[in-house]
Amino acid sequence: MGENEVDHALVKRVQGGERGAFDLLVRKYQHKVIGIISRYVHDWAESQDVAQEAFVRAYRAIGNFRGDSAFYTWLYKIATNTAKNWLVSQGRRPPTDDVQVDDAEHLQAAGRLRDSSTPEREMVRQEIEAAVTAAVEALPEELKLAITLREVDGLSYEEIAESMSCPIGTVRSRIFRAREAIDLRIRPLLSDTEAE
Amino acid sequence: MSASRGVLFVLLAIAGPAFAQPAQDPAALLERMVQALQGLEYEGTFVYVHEGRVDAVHVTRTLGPNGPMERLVSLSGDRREVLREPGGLRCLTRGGTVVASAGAQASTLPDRLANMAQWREHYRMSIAGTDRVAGYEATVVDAAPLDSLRYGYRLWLDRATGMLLASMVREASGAPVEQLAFTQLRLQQAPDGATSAAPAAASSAQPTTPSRWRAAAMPAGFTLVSRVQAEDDAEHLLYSDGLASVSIYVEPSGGGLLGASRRGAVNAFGRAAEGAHVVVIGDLPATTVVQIAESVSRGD
Amino acid sequence: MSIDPNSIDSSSIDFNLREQLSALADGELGPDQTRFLLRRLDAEPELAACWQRYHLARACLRREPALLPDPSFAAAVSARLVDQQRPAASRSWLRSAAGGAIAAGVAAAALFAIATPPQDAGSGPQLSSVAPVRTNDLELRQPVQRVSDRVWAPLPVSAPIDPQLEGYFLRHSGAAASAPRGGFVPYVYVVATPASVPAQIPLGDSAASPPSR
Repeated sequence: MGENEVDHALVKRVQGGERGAFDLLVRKYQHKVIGIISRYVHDWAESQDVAQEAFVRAYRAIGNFRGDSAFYTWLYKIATNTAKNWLVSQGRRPPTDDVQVDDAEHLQAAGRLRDSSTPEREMVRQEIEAAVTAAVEALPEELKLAITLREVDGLSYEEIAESMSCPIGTVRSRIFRAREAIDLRIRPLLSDTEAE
Repeated sequence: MSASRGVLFVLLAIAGPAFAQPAQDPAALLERMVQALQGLEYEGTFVYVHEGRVDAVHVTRTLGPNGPMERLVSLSGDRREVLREPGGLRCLTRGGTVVASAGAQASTLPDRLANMAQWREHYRMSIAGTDRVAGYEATVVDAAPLDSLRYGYRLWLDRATGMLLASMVREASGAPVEQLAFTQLRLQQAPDGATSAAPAAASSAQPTTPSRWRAAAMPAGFTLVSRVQAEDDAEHLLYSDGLASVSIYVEPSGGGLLGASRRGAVNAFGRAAEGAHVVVIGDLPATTVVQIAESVSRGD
Repeated sequence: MSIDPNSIDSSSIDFNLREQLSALADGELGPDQTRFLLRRLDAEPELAACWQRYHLARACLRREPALLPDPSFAAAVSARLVDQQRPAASRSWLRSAAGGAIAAGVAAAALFAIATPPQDAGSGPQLSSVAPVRTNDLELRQPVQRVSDRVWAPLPVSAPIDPQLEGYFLRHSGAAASAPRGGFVPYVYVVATPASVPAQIPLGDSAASPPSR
């Protein structure tokens, strides 16, 4: 199973009535969806609202997802449509250019995004990025390599096992321990951003 | 309206001349027709004259512990078949391929239909004579509309069971819109344990708050019979005046029938309204359906 | 669920569950374990929060433009979904269904049905206990009159079919079936071949034109 298959497996469960599975999809893609929405909606509170609406629409329409495409591609379309509809309902014209999914992924939209969040939130984001980087740097070599091959290069456990000449179980364990170490560092930062 | 009550009625009707004929009250005869349509099992062929076509259809209806099963097969024109399963699932096939399907119908007001005596107020009912249809002796009931918003009906009802044998739907002016008549029909009472009621749909389908939507131009005498809400806030409201029924579908905007469509005496009209999509469909003249559709709006 | 998941001590979750969550995030957890893990989700809000943080860290590592949502975002979506119905495999109202089981069963039946009127009633009892009365005579006191001034051309059997439109009629039939003039009658409109009716029917056909709004 790759990441796509995880999404498809979760979607199937949602279609079967498991709301918990949809919650996982929300938590996995929420930051990306908000990123998409905020290209159209520049007010932070409104973009949260519209992003939530996009997920609700995805839930309602999830019966129509057949698995011919990646879930995120499908979700991306719903998010952009939701944002455009919202603009139209506000009497505004949506932008005519539609950035392709791939471009959006690599879009260095930091400038535009920064405009739309509050300064405090921006600081937290930078803090988290810094904490993740620091945590990875501080990892023992084999953990750092495993998590990098997985997250940055996108290799499967089997491929990493081959690359590192170790059993798959070891790969799985190393990646988990790397994640735990990172989590230890960012958890306190996130608890500080408790809703006001 | 339970099958047991319907079956009991039929038993009384067939038992003997002493019970055979209720008083010659058109409304009572129509009530008996309703019981027969729901409570009997039958198999037959009828012709259906509509919009310049003469089509033949074969129908079978049986009752089981989980409700009725019906199958209608077109014997002319398009190779269509409608199947209604005991659980409530209905589907339309054409040439063997499923074209459309619909799930079980949930209703919030299942007992409303029991009290349809209001049809007296909007139709002038009379006994128009006797006749013979498909070999059965029939009483002819006529219901003339008291306004031009609805159709008139002439119904041939089996004297023994009340079963509908033939019908003619006409405009208020008298011009026929469609006709239906059995050419061959077998009737029998339902077996023990059979019911005409479909299993109740999940209670989660029952909306708890009244609908926000109103149709100001709904003709007098039409009362809300059932209301269903679907997963995306779509609503289905069903109204009846005792003889005619009309549905209002309110769906999220984007797609749906636009403009008018017609099948025999049934007219449909769809339009966009207040951010939603409205489709009205029912046994009413096209002008009435359009008026209703254009009057649908969100209440306060 | 208004608990702030980020404030819960994560050592309260079973180590194994977190480890499985990590594997799930990589698509490397077996189907059985996935099933069990997802079942635990409802009981362990911290699991979902942990999943969220794993993906946030992933976004950072991949240098993705990650926007930090409000901590209560997922919970807010959850709250909005409370009133939603369970998503159906297809909105059975109006979408045409290509349900395999139904199509196969009905298609098989249809093959027998087309040639002659079917004698069987599916799983129902046979209609044999009442002596059949057969006649081909059709006597109506009212002669069949012309239905309208318009002459409709018969619809070619191969004409395209509009599943959405059929869906509306089919669904209304189901509702009207329990109305007084119900039973099989409403289904006649669905099963009979439509005449070639134009998309817009001139409304001055019979009665007066509709009043202007």
